[in-house]
Amino acid sequence: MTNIGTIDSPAGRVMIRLEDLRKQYPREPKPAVDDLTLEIPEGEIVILVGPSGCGKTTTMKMINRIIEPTSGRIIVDDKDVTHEDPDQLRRRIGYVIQQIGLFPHQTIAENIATVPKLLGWDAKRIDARIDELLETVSMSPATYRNRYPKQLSGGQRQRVGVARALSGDPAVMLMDEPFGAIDPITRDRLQNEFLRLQAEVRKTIVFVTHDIDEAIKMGDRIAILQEGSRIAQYDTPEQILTAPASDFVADFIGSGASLKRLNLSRVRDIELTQWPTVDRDANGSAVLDALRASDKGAVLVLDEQRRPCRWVSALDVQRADGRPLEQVGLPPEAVVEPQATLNDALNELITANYSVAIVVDADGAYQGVVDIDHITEAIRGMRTAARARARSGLSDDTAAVPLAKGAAT
Amino acid sequence: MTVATEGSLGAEAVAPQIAMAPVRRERRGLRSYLFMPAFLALVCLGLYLYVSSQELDTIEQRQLNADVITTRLWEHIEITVVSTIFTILIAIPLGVFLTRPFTRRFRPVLLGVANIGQAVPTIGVLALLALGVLSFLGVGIGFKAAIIGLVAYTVLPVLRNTMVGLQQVDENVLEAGRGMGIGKMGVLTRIELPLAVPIILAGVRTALIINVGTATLAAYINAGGLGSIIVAGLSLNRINVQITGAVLTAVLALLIDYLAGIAEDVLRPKGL
Repeated sequence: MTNIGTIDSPAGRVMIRLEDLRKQYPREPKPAVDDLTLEIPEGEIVILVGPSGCGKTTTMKMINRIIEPTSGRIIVDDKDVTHEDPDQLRRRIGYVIQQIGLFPHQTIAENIATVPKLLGWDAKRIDARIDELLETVSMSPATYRNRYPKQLSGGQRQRVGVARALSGDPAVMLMDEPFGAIDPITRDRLQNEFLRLQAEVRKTIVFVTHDIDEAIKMGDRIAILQEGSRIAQYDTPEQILTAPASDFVADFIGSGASLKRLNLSRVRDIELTQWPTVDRDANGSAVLDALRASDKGAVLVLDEQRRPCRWVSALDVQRADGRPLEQVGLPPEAVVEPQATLNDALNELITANYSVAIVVDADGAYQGVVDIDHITEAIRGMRTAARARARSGLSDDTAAVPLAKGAAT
Repeated sequence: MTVATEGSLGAEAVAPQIAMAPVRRERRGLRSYLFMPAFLALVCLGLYLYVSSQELDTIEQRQLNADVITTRLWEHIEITVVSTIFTILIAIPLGVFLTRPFTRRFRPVLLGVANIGQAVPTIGVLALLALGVLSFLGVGIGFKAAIIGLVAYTVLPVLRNTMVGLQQVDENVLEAGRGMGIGKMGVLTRIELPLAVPIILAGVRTALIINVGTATLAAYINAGGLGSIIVAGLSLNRINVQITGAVLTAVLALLIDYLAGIAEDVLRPKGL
């Protein structure tokens, strides 16, 4: 039986290549990882996803040899590291685990400095790196450098865990359910932050999860694994959702595949609608003018940095009694960033005032809004594409959509 | 006490000793630091005034003078400190060794030996040492015999606390450390041991208290110490001598416990 997941895009360079990798624990009838061959392209997030006990974590931990393979080869960055000194190898590979494992007796700065110190950087460079990384994960260095892990919230600890994994500027990162132990709201925010970060740093990331929704949201490519770490399908999220390679994959994706597809489109990929806005120090008549010029029920008040600060309707203006605009009307809710998925936006706008989600950029400045029409349009587009793909077998002159190459089982 | 297997080790060893040093205690205020020395000074003053007010006969005077008391006090401190140092030097490395994965097989045997040390009553250990074993080995009775007896007795609490302290370190913290490329030795010295410090120190403090108290018995094998004053008081039937010896022993024990408490506060890593 072959167990091979190769990538078919000739453009991308392979960063990690696992060759016939096998892990057989003593006194176990079946191998935990069964002769797996897997290619992981440079600069992508590859998700290993599957039911518990399928061997996904074992597979990941063999890449930095926390678990030693029984046989097979591990090639990272064109170098066979199967027999390299594991400590040297691990210093070049970022590592984030679910429980984070910050050192409780060390400050945040000391935690982040771990790998740079091992790599022998000088103190000045390490210091600058700590500040840079804390800024990257949206934590003010002045406030957090000298705190201890127990003084942080779960989400902040996870941010520090990511910063610590990035500290030696590794080309490769391994992440084992990094957002698994965090409440859903914080998890969503951290996922979005992480995607934004990844867009900047472009690391090669192997990411383990058991949550197919997280896999679809985070992955450039997903390997769905069965028992023994056998590849059921290795493909892009789009392909996996629209063309599951087997019943196992279809079952694993579960129902609501078309809704899950909303996780594939991001707010930045669609054209936003503009909503009437006014400045914070505008007067009531400006609000009424703006409302008359549109068919909307309220205007969005923006502050000096163009950040949304209030919804104000005509009725609110009448009742204002000379109060400034930021003290009347309703607070802006349902604010999403461009890298949020349409699913996020849908969740937000369903409960929002005026049924729209406000889109802001990284600095919080207003960009536009997403409404329910965008969502239905996106679903319709995906359906059309899926139907075209399904019908592509009917005509000879249409090239068949390349199906999952790794679906060998 | 039975031989501790790995499973029973945690509960048994932690229960009595951890209670002495709650790991999450806040730093104490200055006032609570000053209370104990002030109290002990008062007790000493009271003892001095009491003894001064008594009319001492020549036998009592031979025991209760500054020279004898200072000598005995120093002997006592010496026995306590030296035996505790040897205990630490033996028990902590042994504890580290016995928590390494490759020693799993002979762990129960060594723990059993350590248990025997504590299961036999101390006075018995001292008497045995005095009665022959050591003279057979050429050590003789006195200071060395006392040290050997006390160390045999106090290795166990420190050994157990070292093992428990190392075993309670969060597995994930260790995996994160190894995963970042810290070597085995680095993980031990930079992560495991610092995180085990509060529990190891609680064990050392226990050993210190046992030693300072048990050193009193060293008088019986001619090793000196404050016990000699009490023994003299008993054999000469002089109540003032007995009281002085007993009070001084208690004051020294409380003082050493107090100092050990401060050491625990200072040495505990921040952030825990």
